[in-house]
Amino acid sequence: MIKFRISIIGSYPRSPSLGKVFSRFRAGKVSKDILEKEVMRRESTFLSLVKDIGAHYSTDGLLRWDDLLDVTFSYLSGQEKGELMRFFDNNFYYRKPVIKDRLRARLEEYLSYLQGDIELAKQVGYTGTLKAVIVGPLTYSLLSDNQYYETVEELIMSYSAEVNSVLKNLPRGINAVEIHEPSIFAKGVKTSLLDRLKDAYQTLLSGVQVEKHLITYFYINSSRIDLLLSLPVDVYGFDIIENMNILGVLYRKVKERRVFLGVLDTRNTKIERVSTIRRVVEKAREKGASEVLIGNAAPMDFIPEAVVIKKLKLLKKIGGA
Amino acid sequence: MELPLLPTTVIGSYPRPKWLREVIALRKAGRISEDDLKEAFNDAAVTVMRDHLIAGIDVPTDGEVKRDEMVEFFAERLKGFKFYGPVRVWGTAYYRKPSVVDKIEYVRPMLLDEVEFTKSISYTPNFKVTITGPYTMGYWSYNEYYKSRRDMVFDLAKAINSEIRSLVDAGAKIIQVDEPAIHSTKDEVPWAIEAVNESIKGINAKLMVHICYGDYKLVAPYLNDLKVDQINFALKIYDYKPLKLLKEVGFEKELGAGVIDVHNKRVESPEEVQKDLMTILRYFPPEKVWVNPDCGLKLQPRKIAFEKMVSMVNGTRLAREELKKGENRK
Repeated sequence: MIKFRISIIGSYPRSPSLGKVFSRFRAGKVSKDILEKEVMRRESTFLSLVKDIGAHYSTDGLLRWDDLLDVTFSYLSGQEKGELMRFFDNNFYYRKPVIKDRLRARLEEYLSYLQGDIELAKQVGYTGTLKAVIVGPLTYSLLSDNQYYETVEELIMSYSAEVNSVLKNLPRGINAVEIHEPSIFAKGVKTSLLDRLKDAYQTLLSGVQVEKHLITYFYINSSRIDLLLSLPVDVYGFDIIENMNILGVLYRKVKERRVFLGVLDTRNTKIERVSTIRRVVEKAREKGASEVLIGNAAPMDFIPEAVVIKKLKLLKKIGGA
Repeated sequence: MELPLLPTTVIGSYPRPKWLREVIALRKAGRISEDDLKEAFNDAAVTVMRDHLIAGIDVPTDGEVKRDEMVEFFAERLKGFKFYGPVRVWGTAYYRKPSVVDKIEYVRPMLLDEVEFTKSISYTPNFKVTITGPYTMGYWSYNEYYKSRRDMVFDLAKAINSEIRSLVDAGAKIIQVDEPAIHSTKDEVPWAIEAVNESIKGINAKLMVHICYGDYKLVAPYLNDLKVDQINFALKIYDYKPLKLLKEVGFEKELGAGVIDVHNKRVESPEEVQKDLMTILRYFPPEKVWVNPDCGLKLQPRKIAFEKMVSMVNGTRLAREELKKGENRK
């Protein structure tokens, strides 16, 4: 029986008790040290879980960030946190970055967190590949409020250039980068922006030596799959559990590609059937994908932690290191 | 229903008094009885009603102090739901998002005690009762049972209709159906509107729908299809830009205008509220405008929530005076 390598993407649920520590920190009631210790303790539990299921790739669970866009504040200056906005069609909200000045790479904070992740992974004995997480240029530009750049195209190119210098300085021990680009399939994106995306990715990833995983989720617009596959990355990620009706189209296009297939629905508590997952991922292999990675289809904040654990353990039955 | 021009109201929720939060914690720890908790809930409702009275709100609520959360409360009382644990909505805010694991059925009245008590303590017969609408209930639940969200939402509409009937029987004259999620998914808006209409079918009361935060363009073309008297919106946070849209689509209902930003601790001045209301009145006649905050005030500290209500009422009074002066000049 074929084993599929597991890749855990995006965020793991931040438990209410950890949320309470964040609230107390923000109210000045506990120190940064106490918060850090608590974050690392929970991250260690998460990494033990991904080790247990045999995940070949994983993020650090993004527990220290309020939302995906919040991650960008650790590697970019020139922006402020704005109003709460709905994250796609979820009952989950993010703080909109408001771009007030020229974006500039900030290496110290982001790299220091990644260094901490590497050490923690060693401590818990997780030997898989740790991924750094960044927001893709298109998603960043569409989910932020641009008050500085003349055009969105200019913003995308500036973002890509600055983040490139972050990615070229990733610490030894981070061997992959996970780029979240769910907006690539969003409705109403201007063609002029999509046309610049290939250039933006070339700038973003030029000289970056680690593996590049491009992750999309929620919705697949089949007319843009070719555009996605033209971007210079190693692994192309798709949420297939919410897009079962277009798998035929998708599988025809991913021949000889390395793909990540999101097979666990992180927007519903219903537990998937192992046989269904196996059937759809085996089909991708049969159709010619050179490698099929499997994992959670989207960030995991949208379902309770207890359900996430149950779902992740399903992966062990189909995949493994 | 006797109300002044530009009636003031709240959307529903109001911060729980700090002591109530402590009583709830004591009950969870098993250190006080259910009766003690019930007494504390009633006392909290009296406290909130008094805040509304002092602020001068024309159409008050009990602050929804007996409900932890707008979906969770009803899901705990309807058949078909199950809870697995809390999920985050943003930052460090959580709620227990329910899962639908069986056919949804109405079991017994859910808000009857609340309405009867509110009626007994209200300083006006024109108090408002709020209930979460079928689409929002469905959208903010996980669906493990139904073939489609539509099927789930229409079963919820039936259950909510039974509940609203019991509220009217108990003396509720103003009922607000909360639908903050109705404009989440463009393709579903037309049948979501039908579901809301199903939930209020045959109801003899003043009916309102509350919609907030998101892209109003998705729902705007369908607003006149809602069989309600009024729709209230978050407007302040958008600097009243949606007014143009509402005018363009020929919005015909009463407008509940959100003039207080509930996500910002800055207290709007009465003069600011007055100015904002005069802007609103450039689009809609005063006879068709009610005044309210953008959304529930629950997330603000109680002191700020109270000050915001006072400013809203005083700003509305200034606007009424301005309108009166204008009338006299004619």
